[in-house]
Amino acid sequence: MKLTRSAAAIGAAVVLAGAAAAGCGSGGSSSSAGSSAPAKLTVWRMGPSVGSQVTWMNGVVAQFHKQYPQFKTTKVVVDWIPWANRITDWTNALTSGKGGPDITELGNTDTPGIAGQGALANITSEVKAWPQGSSIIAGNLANDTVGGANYAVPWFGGVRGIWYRKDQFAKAGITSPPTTWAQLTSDAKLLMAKYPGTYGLGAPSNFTNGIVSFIWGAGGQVAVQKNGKWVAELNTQASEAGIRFYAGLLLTQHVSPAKYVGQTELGAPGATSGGSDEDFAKGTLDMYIDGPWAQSSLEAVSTKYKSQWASFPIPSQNGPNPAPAFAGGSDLGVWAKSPNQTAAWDLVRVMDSPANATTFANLQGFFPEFTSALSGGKYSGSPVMAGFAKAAAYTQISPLNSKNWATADATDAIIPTMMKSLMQGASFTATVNKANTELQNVLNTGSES
Amino acid sequence: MADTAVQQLPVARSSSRVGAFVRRYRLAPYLLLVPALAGIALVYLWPLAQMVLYSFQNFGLPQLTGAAPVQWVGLANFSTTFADPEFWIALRITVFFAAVAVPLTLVSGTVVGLLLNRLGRRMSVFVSAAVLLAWATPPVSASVLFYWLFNPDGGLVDWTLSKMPNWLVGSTDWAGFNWTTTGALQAYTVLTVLVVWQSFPFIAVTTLAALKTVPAELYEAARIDGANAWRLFWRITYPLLKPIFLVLLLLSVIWDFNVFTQTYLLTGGLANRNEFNLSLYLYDKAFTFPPSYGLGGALALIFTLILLIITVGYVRASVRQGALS
Amino acid sequence: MSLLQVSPRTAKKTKNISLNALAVLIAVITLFPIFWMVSTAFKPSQEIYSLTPHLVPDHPTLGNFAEVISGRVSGIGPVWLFFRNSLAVTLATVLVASVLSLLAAVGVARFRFRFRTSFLIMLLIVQMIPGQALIIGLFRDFDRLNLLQNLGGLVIVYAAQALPVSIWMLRNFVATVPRHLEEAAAIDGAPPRTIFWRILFPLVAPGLVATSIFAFITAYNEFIVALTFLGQAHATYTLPIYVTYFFGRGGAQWGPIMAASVMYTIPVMIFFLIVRRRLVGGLVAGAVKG
Repeated sequence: MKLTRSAAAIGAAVVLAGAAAAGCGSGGSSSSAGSSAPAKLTVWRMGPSVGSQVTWMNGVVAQFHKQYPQFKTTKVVVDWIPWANRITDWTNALTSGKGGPDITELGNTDTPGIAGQGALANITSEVKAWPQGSSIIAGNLANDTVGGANYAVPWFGGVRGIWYRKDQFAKAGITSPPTTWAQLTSDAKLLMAKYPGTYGLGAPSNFTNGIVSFIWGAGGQVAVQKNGKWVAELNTQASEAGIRFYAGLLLTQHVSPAKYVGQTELGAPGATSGGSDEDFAKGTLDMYIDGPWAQSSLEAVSTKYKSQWASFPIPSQNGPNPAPAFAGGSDLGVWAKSPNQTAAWDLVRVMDSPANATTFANLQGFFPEFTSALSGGKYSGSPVMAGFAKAAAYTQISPLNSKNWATADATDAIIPTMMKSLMQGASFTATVNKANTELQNVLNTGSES
Repeated sequence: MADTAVQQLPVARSSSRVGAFVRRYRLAPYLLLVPALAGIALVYLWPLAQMVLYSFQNFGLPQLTGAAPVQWVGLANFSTTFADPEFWIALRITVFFAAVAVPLTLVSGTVVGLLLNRLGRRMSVFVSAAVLLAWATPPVSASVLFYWLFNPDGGLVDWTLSKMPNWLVGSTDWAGFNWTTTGALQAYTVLTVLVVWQSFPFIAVTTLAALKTVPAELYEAARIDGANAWRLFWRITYPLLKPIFLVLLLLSVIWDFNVFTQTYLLTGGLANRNEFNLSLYLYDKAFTFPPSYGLGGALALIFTLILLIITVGYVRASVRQGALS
Repeated sequence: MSLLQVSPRTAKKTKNISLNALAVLIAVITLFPIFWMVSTAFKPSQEIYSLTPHLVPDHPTLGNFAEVISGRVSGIGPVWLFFRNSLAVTLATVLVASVLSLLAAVGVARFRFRFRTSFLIMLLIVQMIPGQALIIGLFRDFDRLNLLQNLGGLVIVYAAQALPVSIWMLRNFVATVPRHLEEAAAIDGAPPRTIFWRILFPLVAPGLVATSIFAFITAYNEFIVALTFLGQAHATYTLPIYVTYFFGRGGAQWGPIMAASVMYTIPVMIFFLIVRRRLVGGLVAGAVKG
């Protein structure tokens, strides 16, 4: 490679200038590794490349260069990681020590596990020094906290609620969405009577993140920490009420069809069509539990009833407040082995500023994670988003952020297996007790026995 | 028939010193094997040795990255597995599945291979192209296609079955029948169809290739003597092709034990634990996040041992066959 | 000709008709899922999810193919990049695996030597090991050898993985070539090279075709090793990795996935049509028994 002498001289001058400028430092970072302008920052985004998100990112990078002139020459590269491959890519980057990013997006349920394996940088002091940090929804920030230290910041999220159709409610004479379980089932039956051939409320068995709202909505807990150990509480009276209600949607109330047993809200996981989401879009299911992010997949199935779609929060057992909902979404973390952690954190601050986070979340039907952005009726104009925005104020994360939750839910599928057995007619107490014991063991030790 | 005594390949009168060296120490076979052996050692044997080592340790991500020390756990990984009832269920499912899928694959593959041997040129191109497409379809796409065909909602199979008359097993109960999550038997029925569909082409193509090596005169002579197709097969074709059939049988058993992608997609990922086969069980226990490579190694060893025990008779026969030629 | 036989022409004709009928039946059954795949590739997404099965799309569209070809979802480049990588790796694998396995098969079938049986058994056993368990060791080893993030490393792995099956199969084919042919040629003064090319090779060609198709399809469809080895070296990504971009967080884009699968199988068909001559034409009348 031939460099003319003048080109080499210019190159050296730029590097020196950059180093000098960056020497001024930025925002008291204690874990800084490399305060000179890095040549590039790599950001791992989850999912397929989407045009609108690429545009958004370009705008953010421009802001980044302006707000942090010491990083003006730093190129920002976005790698799109297919969702299905993320664990492999993280693991490989972790084990080989190279090829990792500077910033990575993570599904918020992935964060505790990945942080626990030492992949993310400890950014506790950075978050404390961040002015907007105090406005982050507490429950979601707690999700990214392991052993008292922050390893990521929430970026966008959403909660599940119940999708319904305004025209159906009107025709069935339902004037306002239900706020108690009793109202929920009676409304479902009204809809089924008015629209024969449909089912009232979809209740798939493989739907932990939806089922927990019913456990919490009865005042129960999935598991709590006592003296540093997890105690599973699926078999308390309140929790059992929630479990019984959900299973009863199929078994006793008959508002949910048998074919959803063994399925997630999207049908059989890992592939395919056929699930409560499709049925809702096609009009054979009247109410569907999912989050606002389902909009695009619903539209992909059918847009016939799109103008009538609306949402309301999942009711609690006796109202008037909604049941707490698990807030799913994405976080942003700095890679522990990145040599550019200062610059990376600064970029995160720009990507996750309340303004940017809001515009980004709006692209996908999610919500930003700042209480300041959620309050004040900002979403009341959209029938779909209004219900979810209301639900987004009542969130709970624990125990889904525990170190072993991924093992308990994704790997061992304790709650889905329990619900499936119950819906197939197994004995209630025995099944719930068994799941409870397994859950407690896994949360504490990582294995079922 | 091939000569039964093993002899050295006749050597030419070459006078090079290397040639003389090779001949003197009978290095020819080793030289021929070394490239293949080198590749296999690098890709199989060396990782295998590491895997065996891990199986006696608590090897996970922290150990891999050096964040935590590696500890010797002896046989703990093995005993955990044997004590797990899910392991035995998965084993049973795997064995039953193989017992059904392997014969079906072999028989259908052989029939198609025989057929291809006898078809006219245009027909044989058509059929072999069709067969090749089934083989070449990516496993993920194939699994999804079959899932759709057996979908409770809008799937062709349920729809057809529900419209068929009662005496042909039809009834409206079939509408909405969920093949893949109701239970292992139903799910593995679909899996069997899928795996046979994707695997029989290899058997067919190999059988066809083997048939091409059978001298035509043998068939002519037998036909002149009045033999029909069945006897032709059993008296001439089968004995000549037995070595190949044995290999195909072994390979089919090994592959059907190991089938992962299709099972994963058809049974709904890891959600339906009562439908696990051994390779899903292995993946679930050892390679879901956070991974446990020690347990994975132990499971893999157990898996291999089971396969070995099941196939030991055939392995011996196959190797002995080789000793004859 | 036995008195009980019908006239040869009629018998042949009936047999041809029934054989052809059977052939068509088999082809149709085999092709049905493929037909469904092609049909789906042309359906817009609303039609893919429908309550009643639609054999043929009501409003066929090329949109799925356009989406696949553009490569938009990967953020890396159009589909031709991935095709090129996949084909390069696959063809190299077939070449390397064919050569190495043929040499080894000759060694095993024609010579008797001390480790012969162990070698054969070892070939079988390595196939029994579940691949998932070997990947982590493989990953570390290739990392140390600096063979990650490039296609050469993939070729080594794929070729090595095709070897056990190929050697076992070719061994049989080599073994059935009559030895006296080789001996006669040697007596006539032919060097080993001529014996190999003129006598052995044409007769094992059908077997070689079968194993090369096997190596092709296995390498072409392989995903896990490719994903693990290539990491973020986007320029080396293969087709199977590209297809994963269509699997989203919540659901998958089935139209483009099926369109990609259709495009995917075209090179395999081409490869097959090129080599099938060898497969069918392997039996040279009279030369064997000469």
